[in-house]
Amino acid sequence: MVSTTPQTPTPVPSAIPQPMGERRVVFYNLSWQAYQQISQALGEGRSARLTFDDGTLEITMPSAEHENFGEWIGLFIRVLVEELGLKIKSMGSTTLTYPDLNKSPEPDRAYYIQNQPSVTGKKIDFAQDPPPDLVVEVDITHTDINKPRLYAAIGIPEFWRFNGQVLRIHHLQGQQYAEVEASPTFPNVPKSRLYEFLEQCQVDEVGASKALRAWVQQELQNSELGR
Amino acid sequence: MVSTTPQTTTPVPSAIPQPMGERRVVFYNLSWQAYQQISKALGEGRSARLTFDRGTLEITMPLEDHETALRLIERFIYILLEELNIDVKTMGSTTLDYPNLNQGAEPDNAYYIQNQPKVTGKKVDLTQDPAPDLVVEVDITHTDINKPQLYAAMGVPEFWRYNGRELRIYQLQSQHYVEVESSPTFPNVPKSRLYQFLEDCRQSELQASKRLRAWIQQTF
Repeated sequence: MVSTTPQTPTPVPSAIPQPMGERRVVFYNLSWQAYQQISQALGEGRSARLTFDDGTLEITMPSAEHENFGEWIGLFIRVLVEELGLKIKSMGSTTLTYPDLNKSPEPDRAYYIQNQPSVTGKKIDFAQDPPPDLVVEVDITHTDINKPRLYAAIGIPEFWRFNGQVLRIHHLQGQQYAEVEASPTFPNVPKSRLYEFLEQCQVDEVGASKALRAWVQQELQNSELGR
Repeated sequence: MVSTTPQTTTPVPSAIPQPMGERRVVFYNLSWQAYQQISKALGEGRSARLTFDRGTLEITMPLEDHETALRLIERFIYILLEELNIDVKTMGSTTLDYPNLNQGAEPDNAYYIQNQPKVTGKKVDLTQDPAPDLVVEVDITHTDINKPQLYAAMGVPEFWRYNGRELRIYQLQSQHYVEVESSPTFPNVPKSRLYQFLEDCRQSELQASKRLRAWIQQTF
C-alpha cells in the first residue's frame, strides 16, 4: 500500500556535477543574422565564448581550469615578448568577426606581435587590418568546431592549441596549417619550457615568471657566446 | 637545440570523464527581450532546451542517457493513461512562456490530463488557459535553475523530476510544492513500478510494456 501523507523530503542525492574542462552547447544551421541576434542578446562581459563557424554556433563556458591555463599561457607569451624585446598588442578574447567568411570566433587569447606596428594605437577593423599574428585556444574537452580549419581560413599565421596537457603549434603555410615543434615567433623556446612554466604557475606565478625571465636571459647569453 | 621536425603527437590520455545527462551553459542578468531574441534566433526543432528564470537563462542539451530516460518515462505515462482510459493532450517541450512572471521553460514533457477537456482541439494560450497538469523533467546533472520553484510559480499542479536514479513527485499545494510519495494523477501506482519498468526496458522494451499492461489490468 502506498502512503499518501507527504513525508519530510529526503535531501536530494547530489546530482552528478558538471564535468571538468569546458561546458559546451552547439547549434547548427544558423544564419549570420541569427548569430548576431544571439550575440547581441547575450551582451558583453560574459565569460561564455561564442564561436561561429559557417552556420555552426558553439557556446562554451570555460571552467576555472580552462581560464587558469589561458591566463598562464598568456603570461608566458608576455614575458617572452618582453625579454626578447618584441612588441605586442593583446586582443584578449575579442571577437574576430569575418562576415565575408561567415566565421566569427572568440579565441581565448589573440595577439599582434609581428604586425603590432600596423595596428598599434588604433581600434582594429578586421575588414581592413591584418588578422592577429598569434591565437591561443585552450580546449580541454572535445569541440565540434574544426578550429585549425577556422583559424587557417581567417589567415592567422600561428595557432596554439592546449588541451590541458599537450600544446600543439600550428604554422600557416600557404592556406593550411602545418604542425611545428617550436613556435615561429619564439624559435628557441621548446614546448617543454612552457610545460615547466605551467607547472610552476600552479604553485607560484611570480616565481614562475622570474624563473622564465632568468632562463631567457641565460639563453640569450648562451647564444651570444655561440653555444 | 630545438628539433624542428614535427614529432608524433602524444594522444590525450582519457582522464576526462565522459559527459553524462546533459550539457548546460547558463547566462545571468538577461532581459525578457534578450531571452525572446535568443529563442527566436535559435529557431524551432532543436534539441536544446531553454529555461529562463527571472534573468537567468540556461541552455540545456540533452545527451543520450537523458533522452532515453525521458522517452521511457513518457511511454510509462502513456501506457498508464491508455490502460486506465484517461485522455491526454501532450505538450511535449512546447515553450511555456509567462512574461508577467519573467519565467519561461521548455520542459522535457508536459501534459494536460485533468484539464484536457479545456484545451483539446485548440492551440493553448497560456494567457487564458491553465498551465499543464503534469510536467516531467529529467535532470541527471546539476542545474542552476530552481525548477520546483519555477513550475510552482507557473501553477503546474504536478511536477515529476527524475535524476537518473530516483523520481521525485511534487504536488502543488497552495502555491508551493510538497513532495509526495505517489502521483496524485495515478494514485495507486508506486514509484517502484516505474523503476521496475525502466529496469525491464533495459532487457526488452516490448516485454516491459506487456508486463506493465498486465500489472495494470491486475491491479485495477
